[in-house]
Amino acid sequence: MNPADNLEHSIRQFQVTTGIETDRRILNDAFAALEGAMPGASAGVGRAMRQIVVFPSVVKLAAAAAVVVVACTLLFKALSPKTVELGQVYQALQKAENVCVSRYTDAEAEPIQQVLTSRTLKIVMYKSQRGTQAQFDLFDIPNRLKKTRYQASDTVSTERLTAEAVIRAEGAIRDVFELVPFADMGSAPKGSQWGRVPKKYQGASVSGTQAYELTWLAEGLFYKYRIFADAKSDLPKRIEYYFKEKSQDQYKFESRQVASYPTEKEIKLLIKEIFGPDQDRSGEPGYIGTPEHHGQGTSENPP
Amino acid sequence: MLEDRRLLWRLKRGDKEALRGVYEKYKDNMLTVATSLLHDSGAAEDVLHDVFVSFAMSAPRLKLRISLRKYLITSIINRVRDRFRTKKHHVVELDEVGPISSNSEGPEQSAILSEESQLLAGALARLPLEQRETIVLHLKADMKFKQIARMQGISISTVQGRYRYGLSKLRTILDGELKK
Repeated sequence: MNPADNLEHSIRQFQVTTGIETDRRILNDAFAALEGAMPGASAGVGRAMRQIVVFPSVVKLAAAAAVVVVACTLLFKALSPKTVELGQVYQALQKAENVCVSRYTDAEAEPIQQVLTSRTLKIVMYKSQRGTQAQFDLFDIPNRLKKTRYQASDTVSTERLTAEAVIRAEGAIRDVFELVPFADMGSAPKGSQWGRVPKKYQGASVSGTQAYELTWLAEGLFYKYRIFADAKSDLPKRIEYYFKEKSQDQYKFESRQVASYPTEKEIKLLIKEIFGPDQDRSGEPGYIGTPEHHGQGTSENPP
Repeated sequence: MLEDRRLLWRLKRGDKEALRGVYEKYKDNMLTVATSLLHDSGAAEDVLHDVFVSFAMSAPRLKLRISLRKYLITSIINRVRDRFRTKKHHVVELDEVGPISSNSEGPEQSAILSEESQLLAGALARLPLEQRETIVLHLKADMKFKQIARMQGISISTVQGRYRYGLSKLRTILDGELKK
């Protein structure tokens, strides 16, 4: 088609698309900028936990009444199935050693991104998908290396992580994998409601889990965070986000994430499969990087 | 609009997924505007990077009076203008426009353009900046002539004139290209 024929239409249709590597670079820097801009960014779950245990002093009568309430609650809990509180999910995530999170939007069958984080191995691996093209990026903190592989290619490119990139990767390992809606529990808006979702309203079915919802109102919008928490470990296996306007009856689905908790052995095997045998961790000399990057200052020997 | 309000609210609480959501939603539009104006995909990506990182930095304190899209596009325009001002960006002559240049290398091309888009971008680059900016703002940023006039500090009739002359010139350039 001659673009001059319908010029305005052609210009409207004209679109430039970013590449995966550009997206990663911009988002990494933007995440770091956002973290730095947040007031009291260093406060984490610890602050939330302190908020939970701190309570105002009460008069003797009120204290006595509280004892009765606590006793009733304990009795009720003893008779009911185990109930998971949001705080327990935070605690479980803080203790989790390895997590793999797959992000989906709408009804896509394939995840748009997968993030594998290992606190014990100190690595973060991303798999990004665009159409048929998939890219793996491994951030290896102990070796200060980043490895990249495109699924369609056998070539693995390796570069040294900058100090800034190491800090960001360490931050990604420390946080709670973006599986919870707030940086900490204390940040949940007043009036937020947490409750169990009866099976018939759960929509999805995830074995061995119980579904809960956190709902809150903010700036005229209602938000709903649904979590399918493992009945034994309290760890989220699936989370879903919904929202709606005050005037609307139905919540609108936004996104979902599916989490799994692989073992260290499984992760090592996966990395070996994608990036080949791990020469860098052997501590032996001889690592020379990939031919493309050799001589460009990105293939220094690992420590 | 509703979705943007929700994303902004989450963003103000430091939600990285919300930041990713804003980026995924507007990055291509922002990059297209920057590329149309600069005719250099490497420079356009730098502008997108700078604008988005700056947006992330100010997000917790952001109070928008215009739509999020307009805010981001205006930021791109401002950053491009800064670039022209400080670097005295190269003015493209009629006979020297080639494919959009890029510093990107490797297996993945950074900014992806079809052949038709290359042709169009090349023709856009031959327009005087003020005509190019007016066309891009109107057609790619969906800004009304009135808004462009306010933004550029000129009258609406001047904006309309620039738009008309720009399109006419663009049509001539494209017809000429196809006859080659």
